[in-house]
Amino acid sequence: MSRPSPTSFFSFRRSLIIAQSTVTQLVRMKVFYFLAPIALLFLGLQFFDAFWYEGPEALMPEQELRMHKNLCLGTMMLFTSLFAIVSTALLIPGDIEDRTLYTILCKPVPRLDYLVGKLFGVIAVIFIAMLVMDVLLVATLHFRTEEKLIETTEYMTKIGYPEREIEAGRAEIAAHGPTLLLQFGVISHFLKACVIAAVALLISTFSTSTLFTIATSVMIWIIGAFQSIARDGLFNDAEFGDVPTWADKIVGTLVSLIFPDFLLYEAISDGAARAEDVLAMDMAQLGGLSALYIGIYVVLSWFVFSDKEF
Amino acid sequence: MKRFKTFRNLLVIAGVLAGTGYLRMPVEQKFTEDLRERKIVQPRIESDAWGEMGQTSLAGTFGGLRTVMASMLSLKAQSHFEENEWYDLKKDYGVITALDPYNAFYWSHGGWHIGYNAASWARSNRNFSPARRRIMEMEFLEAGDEFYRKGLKYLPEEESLWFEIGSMWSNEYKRPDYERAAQAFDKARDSTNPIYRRRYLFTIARIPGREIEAYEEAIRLLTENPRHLGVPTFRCLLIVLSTNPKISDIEIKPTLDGVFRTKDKAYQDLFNYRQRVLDEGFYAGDIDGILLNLIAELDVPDELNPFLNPTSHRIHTEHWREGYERSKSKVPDWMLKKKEEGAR
Repeated sequence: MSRPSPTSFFSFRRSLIIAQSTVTQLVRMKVFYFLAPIALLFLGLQFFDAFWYEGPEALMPEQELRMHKNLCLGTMMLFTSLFAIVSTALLIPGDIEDRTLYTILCKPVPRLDYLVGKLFGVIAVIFIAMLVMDVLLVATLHFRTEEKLIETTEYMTKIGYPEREIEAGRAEIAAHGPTLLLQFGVISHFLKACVIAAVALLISTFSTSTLFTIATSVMIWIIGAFQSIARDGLFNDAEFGDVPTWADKIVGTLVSLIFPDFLLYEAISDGAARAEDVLAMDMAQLGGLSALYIGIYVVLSWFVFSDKEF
Repeated sequence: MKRFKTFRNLLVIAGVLAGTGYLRMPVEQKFTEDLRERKIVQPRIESDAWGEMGQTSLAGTFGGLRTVMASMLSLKAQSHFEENEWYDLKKDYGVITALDPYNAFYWSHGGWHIGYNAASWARSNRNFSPARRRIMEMEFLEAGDEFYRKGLKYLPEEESLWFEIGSMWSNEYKRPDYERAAQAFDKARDSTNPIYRRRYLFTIARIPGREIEAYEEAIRLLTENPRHLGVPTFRCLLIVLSTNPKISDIEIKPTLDGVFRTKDKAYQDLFNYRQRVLDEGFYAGDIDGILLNLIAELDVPDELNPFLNPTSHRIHTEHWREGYERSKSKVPDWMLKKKEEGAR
């Protein structure tokens, strides 16, 4: 009689299978329908002109493109962050409710595979949604940039600017168009959504209600945007005002230790929208930090989930 | 047992988060400081701006949508501009710039609304007494100046904001203060933009007692880039400032032929410059003497002689003589005859 082969501690293949089924599960929830209003918004922005941009004397093409990017990136961030929270919060309770969880866990599937698979599934859906929104952003921004380039060149030629200055003006506008730098902003929002999904996964492992998971994750999302203020207070006393009290220091320490720093993601994305010099090195650092956050939250989720009784 | 497990789990989670947090905190701080130094991280929102923020802005800020909220608020501010609600507009721009302080457009646009539009509204509002109008206008001008300067704290390299301050204080339709304007233009004196570079000269040339300095500035500009000679006011200032008797005769002074391509061009430019002396207080020097010499030399018709025929009109072409002849030929012959007879 042959002995059953021992189940490995973690299998990437098994996690991928669970991730695949999670994607199917989320697609059946019709999550991609949300992309329709977003597409309409992006296309609508294409035709949106603020009043003060009218007339050649008020020609501000860079600001107009910047506004377009800000609104699109903001929408992408809002959608992906909320989606990461809600979908992750719904998955484990959903599996318990329709008893899928029992059929999975009664098989030789380690709980780590299940959690990682679920997270990969959510991340895959976020990635697809982000990709669609990114294509829309690039397309609308491309057309708008082209339009602004033509308008500005015509205007500058009419006024009699020398060729060198026209070229400089065009280069400045093109820098606000669909560049690689802009993709750094998109990637930054994607990484943020992945971290938020990992946070929601951790909470959903010990939470008894979906509502609690969603509410707590949203709170962490909000506090994460201010984590750097608390941390700055610890590293630099003057930043807190006069003299930080003990209460300030305790709260600051707790917030800095426990919560992730989401301001970094915002900063990189804003910097990319402003066409500042965001470097590939910054992206590597942000990616490393995100991997660290996700790793910590997944390990903790596994710890809680490993001996959870259903 | 279940309660113990929950308590244990929470304790472990808190412990691991605190432990890893302790390790990652310096990394996060270093990364943030590096990004802040490169102005990629937005500065902290000032305490007074928190009080001014509405619920939507606060929610947006908490959600990490600072720049998006700034864009939306700038649209709202536009409606305050249309309704002449200047105090609300000022408040809005305070919040907008607190949310997105590295966007020069908001500083420039907000300053323009406060220092130009609000000040003009106060100046021309007949509902107030003249004294009140003046006080309000000055209030808005000072507020505009302060707003631009606040922007410069965040964007010290943004010469356009210095240029805006200078333009506001040298605007003859407001309350010109050329000393303040010159102080601002001085900061943009070494700009790569030739328009910004010249404005310091054009401003000090209107301040009595700073003519020598203005001449030295004109020479400095000319030495670094002769293309400044393409600007009529620059050409005229170069000539007129050199007529200042306080300027040493040892210095090589510019000549009409060297500065203007033709004598006709010189007459056109200097004729127009004289109007600026009268209207805008530019340095007069010996403009009258130069013009009288040119009138004699070029045999300028009386109609184009500002001493015989004072006018506020400008000469718009270098070929003014042909233009004058053409306009003269349009007059019917019988009228010209009558005119000549009358003259006899």
